[in-house]
Amino acid sequence: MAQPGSRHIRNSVACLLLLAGGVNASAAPPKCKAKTYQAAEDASFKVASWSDYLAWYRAYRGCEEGEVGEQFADVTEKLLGDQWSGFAAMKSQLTADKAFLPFIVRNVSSVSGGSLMTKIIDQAHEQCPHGLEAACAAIGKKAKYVADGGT
Amino acid sequence: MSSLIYNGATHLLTLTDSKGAKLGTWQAHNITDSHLSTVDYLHNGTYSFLDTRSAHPHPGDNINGPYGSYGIFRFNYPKHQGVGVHSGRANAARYPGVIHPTLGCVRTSDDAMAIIVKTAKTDPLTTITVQSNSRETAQSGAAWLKTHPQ
Repeated sequence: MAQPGSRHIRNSVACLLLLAGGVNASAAPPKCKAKTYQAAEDASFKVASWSDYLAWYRAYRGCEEGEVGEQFADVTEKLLGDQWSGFAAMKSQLTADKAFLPFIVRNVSSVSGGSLMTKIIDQAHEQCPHGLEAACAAIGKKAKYVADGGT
Repeated sequence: MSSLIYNGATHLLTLTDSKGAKLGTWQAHNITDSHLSTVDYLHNGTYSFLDTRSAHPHPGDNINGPYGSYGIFRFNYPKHQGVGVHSGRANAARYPGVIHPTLGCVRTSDDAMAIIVKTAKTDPLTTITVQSNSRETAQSGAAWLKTHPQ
């Protein structure tokens, strides 16, 4: 016969696991190992859509340093500039994973080509999807910083 | 065996052969993006190359791309990956060419990379020595070039 105390313990463990899961969604990414880094590099050249971008983020975040990061900043600029309408589809992901928006904003960077920064600023200001106002503001602010010469 | 020396104070990259003879000297910078780069600036030291006989290529490498026309010569930099020497961004609207920020790499010109690539084929790269570099010199590169037009 189950003891009352054991149910309390199970509930406590379940709460701890749920809490850990929520914390992990925004926890620092694991350190990128050499083999993973090469895979991240290869994959970064195949990102052509927001779904690809999200898949790369889930598989390889933490690898966007050095050589790979310089390419991924370009990827970020191109998607925000030329596929702005696809950004709206990321709404549920941005809500579920609090680390995703900071990742996007961080990759709006002075190391990319920069030719689409003005377009990104305009789109963030004038074509912001409903419910993503805070995200648009953050992206627009960073793009303006970069366009104004910030490094 | 050839080697490179990057001087952060003069913003010059020098290629030498196995006897120490200079094969070429070119403008180069180590200006990093302060928000994205995990490498604040390359610390002084000597680092061994991963890519010794040929640069590591990428799809679509071109003069205006992230790495330039010839790819990247990567070297072992402690606790970081993908750090190397490359060109690129020759016609960027902001900070064109050598002064375009990187994520820790040394950026030089396509002309320099062409010589380094040609040399490495028969005289493999061994090390790069970073000297006189600091956060201040790394960040001063863009301002320096404005007062020293090439």
